Amino acid sequence: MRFLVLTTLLAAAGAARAQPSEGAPVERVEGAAASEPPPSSEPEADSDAVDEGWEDEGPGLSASARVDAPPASANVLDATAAGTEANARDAAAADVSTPELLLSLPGVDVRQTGAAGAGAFVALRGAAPNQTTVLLGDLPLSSPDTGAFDLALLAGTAFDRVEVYRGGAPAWLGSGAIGGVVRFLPPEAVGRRLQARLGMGSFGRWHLGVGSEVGGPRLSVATNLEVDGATNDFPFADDGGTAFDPSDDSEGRRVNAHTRGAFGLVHVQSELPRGGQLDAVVHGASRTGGDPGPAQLTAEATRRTDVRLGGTAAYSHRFAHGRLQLAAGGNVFEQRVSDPLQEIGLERNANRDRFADATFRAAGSADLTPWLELTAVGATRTHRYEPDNQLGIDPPSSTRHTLTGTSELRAHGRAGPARAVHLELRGSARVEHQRTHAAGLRLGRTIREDSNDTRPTIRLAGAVAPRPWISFVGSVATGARFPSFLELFGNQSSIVANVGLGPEQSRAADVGLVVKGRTSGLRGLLEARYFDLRVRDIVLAAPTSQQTVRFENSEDARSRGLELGGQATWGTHIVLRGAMTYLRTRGERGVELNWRPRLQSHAHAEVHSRALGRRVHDLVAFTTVLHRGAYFNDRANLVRIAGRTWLALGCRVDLALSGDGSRLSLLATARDVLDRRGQDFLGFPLPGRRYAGELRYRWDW
Amino acid sequence: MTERKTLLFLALAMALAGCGDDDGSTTGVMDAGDPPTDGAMPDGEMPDGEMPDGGPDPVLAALPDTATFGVVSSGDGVASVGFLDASGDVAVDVWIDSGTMPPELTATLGGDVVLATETPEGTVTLLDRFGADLITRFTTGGVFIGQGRFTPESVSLNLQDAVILPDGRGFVSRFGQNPDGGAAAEDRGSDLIGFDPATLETTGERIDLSVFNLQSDGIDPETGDPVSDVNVLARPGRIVRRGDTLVVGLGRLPASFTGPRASGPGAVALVATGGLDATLFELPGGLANCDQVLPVLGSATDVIVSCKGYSNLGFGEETGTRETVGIVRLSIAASGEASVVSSWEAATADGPLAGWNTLSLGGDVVATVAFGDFVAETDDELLRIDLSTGDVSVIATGAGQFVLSQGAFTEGGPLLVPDGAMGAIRRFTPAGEGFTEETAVTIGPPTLTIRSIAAL
Repeated sequence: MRFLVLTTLLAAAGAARAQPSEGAPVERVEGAAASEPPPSSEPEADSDAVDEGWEDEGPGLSASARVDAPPASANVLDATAAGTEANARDAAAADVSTPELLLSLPGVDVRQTGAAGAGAFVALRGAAPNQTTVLLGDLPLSSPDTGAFDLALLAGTAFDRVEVYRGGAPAWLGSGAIGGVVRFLPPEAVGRRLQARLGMGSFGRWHLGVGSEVGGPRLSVATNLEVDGATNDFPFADDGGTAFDPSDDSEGRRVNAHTRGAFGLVHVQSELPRGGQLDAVVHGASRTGGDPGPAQLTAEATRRTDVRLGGTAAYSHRFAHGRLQLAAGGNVFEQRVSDPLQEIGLERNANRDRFADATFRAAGSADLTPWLELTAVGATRTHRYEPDNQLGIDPPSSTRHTLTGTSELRAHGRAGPARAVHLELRGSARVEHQRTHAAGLRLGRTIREDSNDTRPTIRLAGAVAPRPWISFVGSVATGARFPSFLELFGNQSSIVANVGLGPEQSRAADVGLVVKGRTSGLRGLLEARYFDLRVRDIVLAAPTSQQTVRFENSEDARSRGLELGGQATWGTHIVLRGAMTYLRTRGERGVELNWRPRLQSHAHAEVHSRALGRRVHDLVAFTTVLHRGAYFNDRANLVRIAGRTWLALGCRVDLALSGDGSRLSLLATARDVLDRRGQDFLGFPLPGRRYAGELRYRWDW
Repeated sequence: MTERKTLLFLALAMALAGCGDDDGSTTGVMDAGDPPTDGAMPDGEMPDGEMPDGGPDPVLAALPDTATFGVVSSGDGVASVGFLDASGDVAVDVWIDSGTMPPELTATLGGDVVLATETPEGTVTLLDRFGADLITRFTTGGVFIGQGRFTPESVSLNLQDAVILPDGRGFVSRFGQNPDGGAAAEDRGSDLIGFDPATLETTGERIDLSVFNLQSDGIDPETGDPVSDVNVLARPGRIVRRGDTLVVGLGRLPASFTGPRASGPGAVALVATGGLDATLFELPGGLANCDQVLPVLGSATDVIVSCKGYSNLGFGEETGTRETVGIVRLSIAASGEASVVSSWEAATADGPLAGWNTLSLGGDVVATVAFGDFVAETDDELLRIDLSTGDVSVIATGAGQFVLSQGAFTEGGPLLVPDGAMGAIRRFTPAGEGFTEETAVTIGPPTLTIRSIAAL
C-alpha cells in the first residue's frame, strides 16, 4: 500500500512540477488516458516520420525537451510491447464478429463453441483464456472469478478498435496477466455522423446497429447500439457417439442454439479548461437463448441469459511533461442458467449468479528529466460474487479485495553516430495483493474462509530503432493469475474447497522487430517476434471420488513460438493483411498443451476500385483465408483435432447517395465457402458454409 | 529497404499466412511419426486381408493369451485401456484409447470408462459411463463386436455395469434417473435395460429398479434443519451374476446431490433372470451407499457388497459416515434368496471409513480402501479386513488423498492396486495373512491416472 501511494504521489508531483508553458509539444503517443485518442491508429499514421526522418539532436542520449517520435510500433501505447490493434470500421465483410476481428492478429487464438452468439474465448501466445485480462479503456471488464471472458457479450463493431498486448503489457494498463491484455477502446466522436447497419444471413442470423457521433470543441458524444439474433440451426456430422460403428452416422442439426443479443455503449468526452478532460463510458450487454450443450447430448430445455452493465468515468489532465488520470468504474454481471432436465449438468439446476466489481484507479506519468519518465499506476478493486441455485445448495458468497501498484521508469533518447539510433528502455515493477473471503451457510452455521496472497511481477523492455522505419524490440516479464472464488472455495457439492491454492505464475520473454513505413506507393507494417512463455503452478481440477473434484496447483508448461503480422496498402487499390502464429508447447511429461494449434494463420486481401463515376464511391472485393493447424483436444494428447482451412469471399459497394455526405454500402459475404465446418472443442460443432448480407448507411453532417 | 525487398517480405508473410500444417508432427500416441502403441493399430488403420476364418477384420491388435487384467487409465476426458498378465507385468501397454479412431463428433472413448465386472470369455466389454453411456464390445482377437448407446438424446443416464447371461441376453445398469417424468420407459433410467450382446441394440427388456426409490428423512445442508420426504433414488451400480440371479448394488442416494441430504437403507436388488422379477434385500446394520458388488473369489454363489457410507451432515463427515460404512458377504441360493454370511461394520469397532474400491481376497477376507482427509492431512490406507473376525490391518498407505483406486486380485497372483500418487500399480504378494510389496509397474500413457483394474 505504501509503495502504491508513494509511487502515485511521486508521479503526480513530478507531473505538477513540470507544469507546462503554453504551446509545449504534446505529441507523445504512449500511455494515452482512458479513451484518449491516439494520433492515429492507421498504418500510415507515422509515415511522415519515415519519409522525413528524425531531427538530429546531438550526440549521446538526448537532453532536449523535445519529445521524440516513437520507434516504429504496431501499437500506440508502448513501442516496446508486443501490441497490435484491429478495428471493424469500414470492414469489407458483412457481420464482422469480435472473434473474427481478433483472429486477424498475430499470437491470438479464439476458441469458439458454436455459431454467432455462442461462447468464444481469447487466448494469447499459448496461455489459457482465463490468463488474459480484458479491458474497456483502462479499466477491467474481466474478472478473475468469472473465468475466461466470453467475447459473445461484446459487439466488436461497437468499438473504435481493439488492442491486443501479448506477454507483458504496458505498465500504464496496470496488468500482470500471464497471457496478455485485450483492450477494447470505445468510439470517439470527431465530427457529426449517423450510421446504421442492417444485416441478415444463414441460420436465421440478423443484426441491426445504429450509431451516432457528435463531436464539438468542448463536448463529444458517441453512441452505438447493436442487437442481433440467430436460430443457429446449422447442420453437423453426427457420428452417433459410436466411433467404431458408422452405420448410425447422419447429418444432424443443432437445436436449442438460438440466441438474441444486445449491446449498447455511450461514450462522452468533455474538454475542461486548463487541459483537463472528463471521459465517461457506459455500456450494457445481454445475451439470451438456448444452451445446446455438446452435440452428442441434445439439450432442448436448457436456457442461458447473461446480462452485464458497466460504466467508467475518468478525469485526466495533461501537463507539458506529464499527465494524471483518476478513474473509477464498475460492472455488474448476472448469469442465469436453467437446466431443468439435467441436460448439460450433473444435476437439475436453476442458477442465478451475480458478480459485481468496483475499481478505482489513479495513474500518472511525469518526465523526471528530458530522457527519463516515471509512470505510476495504483488501483484498488473489489469483487462480489453471490451465487444462487434455486434447486440446490448455494455455493458460498465471496468478496475479493485487490490492491495493485505499478511503477515504471522509461528512459529514451538517441545514440550512435549522428544520433540516428533511437533507444527506449522500460523497467517496471508491480505488486498485487489479494484478500479473498468466502462465507456460506452450512448446517445452520456460517462458515467463513479466507485466502490472502501477494505477488510481485516485473517487466523489462527495450526498443532500438537504428532507422525510423525499423525497431528491434524485446522484453522479459513475469505474470500471475490468482485463483477464482470457485477454485478456492468450491461449491459445496461437486467442487471441494482448497484455500491453500496459490496463483499461477509465469515468466515471459520476446524479441523481434517492427518495420513500418512507406515507399513508392506501398505503405505497410510488419512485425515479427519470437516468444517464450513459461507458466508454473497451473490450477487444474483433480478428481477425488464420487464426481467431486478439487483444484490444485498441478502442472508447469511452456509455450514458444513465432508470430508474424503485417498489413500493407499498395497504392489506393490493394490492401493486404496477414498474421501467423507458430506455436510449440510442452506440458507435463513432454506432452503438448491442449487446444493449441501449432500453426494458425490468417490472410486477407482486398481490391478497391475507388470512385467509379459519381455514384459509386468504391467497389471492394476481398478474400480471407484462416487456417488452424491440428491440435490435441486433451492434455494427454490422445485426441487430435485435424487442421482446417476456412475460405471467405465477399464484396462491398459504397454508393454516394447525394452531395450531403451520406453513403450507402451494400455488402455480401460467404464464409467457409468450402464447407469445412470443424470444431474448436470436441463435441461442439461449428457452422459451415454460410452467407451474410448487410446494408450500411452513413451520414456525415 | 528497397521496394523490391519490401514486396518480397510482404509476399512471404502473406504466403505463410495461407499455409497449413494439418499433419504437422506432434508428440502424442497419435503422432504419425511414432510407432503404434503396443497392441493398438494405428489410427483408423485396418489390417489388410481377412481373418483366416473369413470373419470380420480386427480393428485392434489381438490380445496375447497372457492378458489377464484390464487396466483403465483416464483423465481430462480421455481414457486408455491396457492389459497386465497374471503376475502383474505389462502384457499390452495401450490396447485402445480415446484417440484410436480419428475423432469425429466424439472421441473413441470418453473419460469415465470401466470394464464390465463380468464378461464372456474371449471378449472385452467396455462401459463408457457418464456423458457417453456407451457399451463397446470386442473379442480378445481385436474384432469389433458392436457398440450401443443406452440413453435418451438429451440426458446422460450414467451406465455403471453390464452383464451378459449364458443365454445370450445382456443387461446394463443405469445409475441415473431421467428428471423428465414423462419420458418413455426405455428413457427413464434407474433400471437394468436389456440389450443384444451381438448387436448392442436394446431388446425392450427392462427391470425397473425405481421401485426401490423411497422417500426418506434428511437434512437441509444449509440450515441444518430436518427435511422429510427427500427423494432417494435406487441408483443401481455394479452387477454380479450368481446362477439365475443378478445381484445389483444399490446406492440409494438422493435425487439431487446439491439438495437435501438423505439416503436409503443399504440394500441390493436380486433380479431373477428368468422372470426378470426384482426383489429388495436390505443389508443389516444401518449401512448406506452400497452400489459396489463383487464376486467372492473362488465362490460360485457368494458376493461381497461394499457400503461406502453416507452422512446427512455432509460428504466425509466422520461420525455419520462411520455409522453407515460396512462390508457384507452374501450367499445367493439357487432359488435366488440371499443370506448374510459375514459382515463388518465400521461403527461397531470405531473402525476406519473403508468400503471404497473393495476387492475379494477369498472367503471372508477383503482388501478395501479408506480415503485420507484433506483437512486432517491423513493419507489413503489399503486395508485387509476379515469380515468374520472383524480384524483390520493396514496393507499399505498411499501418499495423499484419493490416490488408491480400484485394484484386482486373483488366486495365486499378486494383489494389484493403482496408486495415483506413484503413477503406477503397486504389487503385493500374499505372505501368510499379510502381504509383501514388490516392484510397482507402470502402464498406459504417463499423462493419465490409472483408475481401475479388472480381471478378464
